Amino acid sequence: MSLLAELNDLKVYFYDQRDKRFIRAVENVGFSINEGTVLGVVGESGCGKTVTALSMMGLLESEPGIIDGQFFFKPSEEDAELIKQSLSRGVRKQNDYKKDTLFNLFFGLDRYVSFEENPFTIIKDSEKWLRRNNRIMEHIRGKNISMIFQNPEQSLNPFIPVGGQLTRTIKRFNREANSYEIKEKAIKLLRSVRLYRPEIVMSMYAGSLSIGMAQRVTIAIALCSHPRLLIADEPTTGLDTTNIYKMIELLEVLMTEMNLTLMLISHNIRIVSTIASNILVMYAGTVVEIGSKNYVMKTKKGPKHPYTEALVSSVPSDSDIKRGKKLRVIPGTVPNNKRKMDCCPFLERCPYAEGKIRQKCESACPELARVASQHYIRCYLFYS
Amino acid sequence: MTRFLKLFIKELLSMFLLIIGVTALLFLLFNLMPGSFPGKGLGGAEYLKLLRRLFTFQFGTSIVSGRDINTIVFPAFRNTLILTIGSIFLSILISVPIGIFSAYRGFESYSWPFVIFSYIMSSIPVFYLGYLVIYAVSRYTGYLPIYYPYGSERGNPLISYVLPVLVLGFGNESISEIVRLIANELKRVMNTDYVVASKARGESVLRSSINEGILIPLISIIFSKIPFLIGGAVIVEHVFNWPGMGRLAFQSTLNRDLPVLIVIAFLAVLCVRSGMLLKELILYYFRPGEK
Repeated sequence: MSLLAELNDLKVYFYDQRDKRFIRAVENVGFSINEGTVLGVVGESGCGKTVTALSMMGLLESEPGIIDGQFFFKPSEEDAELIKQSLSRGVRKQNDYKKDTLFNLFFGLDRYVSFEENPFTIIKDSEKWLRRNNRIMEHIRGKNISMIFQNPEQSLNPFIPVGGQLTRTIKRFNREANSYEIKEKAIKLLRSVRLYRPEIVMSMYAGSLSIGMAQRVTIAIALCSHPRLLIADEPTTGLDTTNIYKMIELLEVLMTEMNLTLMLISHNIRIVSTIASNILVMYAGTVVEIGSKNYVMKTKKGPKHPYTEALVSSVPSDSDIKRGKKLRVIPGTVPNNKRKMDCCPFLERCPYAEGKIRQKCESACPELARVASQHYIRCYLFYS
Repeated sequence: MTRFLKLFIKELLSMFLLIIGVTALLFLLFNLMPGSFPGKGLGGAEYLKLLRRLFTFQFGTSIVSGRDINTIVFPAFRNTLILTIGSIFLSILISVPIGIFSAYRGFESYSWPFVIFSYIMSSIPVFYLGYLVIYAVSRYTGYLPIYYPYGSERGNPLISYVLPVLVLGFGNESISEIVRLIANELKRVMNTDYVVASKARGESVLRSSINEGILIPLISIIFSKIPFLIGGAVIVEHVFNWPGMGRLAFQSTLNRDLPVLIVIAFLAVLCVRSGMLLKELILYYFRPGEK
């Protein structure tokens, strides 16, 4: 099991043109994914899960702002040389962008993104960097990292039938294949995502598919390039409960069939915990807890961030339902991300912040502390 | 397919009604005109005969020249068609790249000179631009013929197409409209979910947004511009002495040549409405939701 991707200290800020200030979207996010494992990313809406995924793919374009951090990724061998070429363009020290076989896809970020208050400079700088980033990501998107989005119906082109989009994508990755082979492969892919009568689905448009079918089609399109890492951004939104678990099962089956690594983003920690080996809990744009599933999901004993505890208990388990336990909600909302992070972001909703420890929580934001091997928690309760 | 047929029949019916309305109005107005000239004071029976002539495409003879109208109108119609279609293509050729460029870069970057150029070009009146071009070409170069070699064997008529097509292509107001529309639409479509999703699997943004971002707005604006282009062609034809429909209409109005005028109106209606029909059919092909 070798390291596939590693994200260090990701910072994403958007610039608010009207208020003339930066809005924090993601800060101090870092994790690593081993090949063949599943990383589950959990958190409420507005906690920066999608922004993290989009910035990994280099798809954050709509807004000017700041992106900072390091993203190491191990590409497939045939693409490694191309990525090396486009990364090392205009670089003096040759090995800065590399760590073993992993390439830093965010390399050169600090040269382009400035922190100046003048909005015009920021737009220009981030534009320049995005153009460079697009050149690098050409070899990454599709071939190495693929992504499926949270609204499957909208992420299919409404003007081209499903089969057309699928064959178009397959054709780009197998240039020599003839049209018959491509069609065969498309049908095979649609079968592998458990779609019945793929020949009929091929001629349908996105508008006439149900959400579950559309999600399966988007998975098929994302998989036709045999990516190494698949980022699934809330693949279960809009599905009913039985279909949610079917979809998760499908992802699990596809992982073993296609030798995939999965990054599963969801707001439901129980769904994620069914297949994830590592779980990352995000809150207000930061990581509050990261660790292997057994540590994070352990309900009774062991250290646990209050937010994770709240997340787990807000979705009832089977035994909870049998015992007739009442549903729990997390009081309050995610804090305003325009504010500077000068206290613990979970302070206002935390049931444990009382007495002496509350003074600590109010004074500064806690660091991510190691409580066990590969288990980190950002909370003063577990400072030793 | 039934929807397709329905659309077709509806368009044909509306075209038929429009032709009857236009010709009847023209016939009435001619009868109300002051003065006395041949063709005035004809009754309803004559109008029915006229309709039969129009729908069988045997237009009869001109009052003024006594020639068969078919031999007068069809060459002129062909010339106008060449002028109109050529200028539309030129407008598309100029404006679409500017629109795409400004959608990609926004107004702040280097696209603003092109955008401003397109606005200036659209705000210059066509006749003024025509005389300017004639002056510049005839005074300083002398390579291109500035008039159509009308009725003479000298000169190549193909080369004489260049200047009128150029002037009408730049000078009709559609350039800035196409630029603005494509820049806005493409920018919107480039941020939609499906384009971002196709970008995430490595597809080019332009290729996945070309349908909604460029083709549909372009088609709907081009075909709705046909009436204005025919109107603009009248002026350009006059400036360049171009033997088209506009000039023919102008001359026959001065001569009070009723049969020719009605035929011209008939052909203009036919042209505009079939343009609309073509637009509907093409859009029907591009919009999958309506299939």
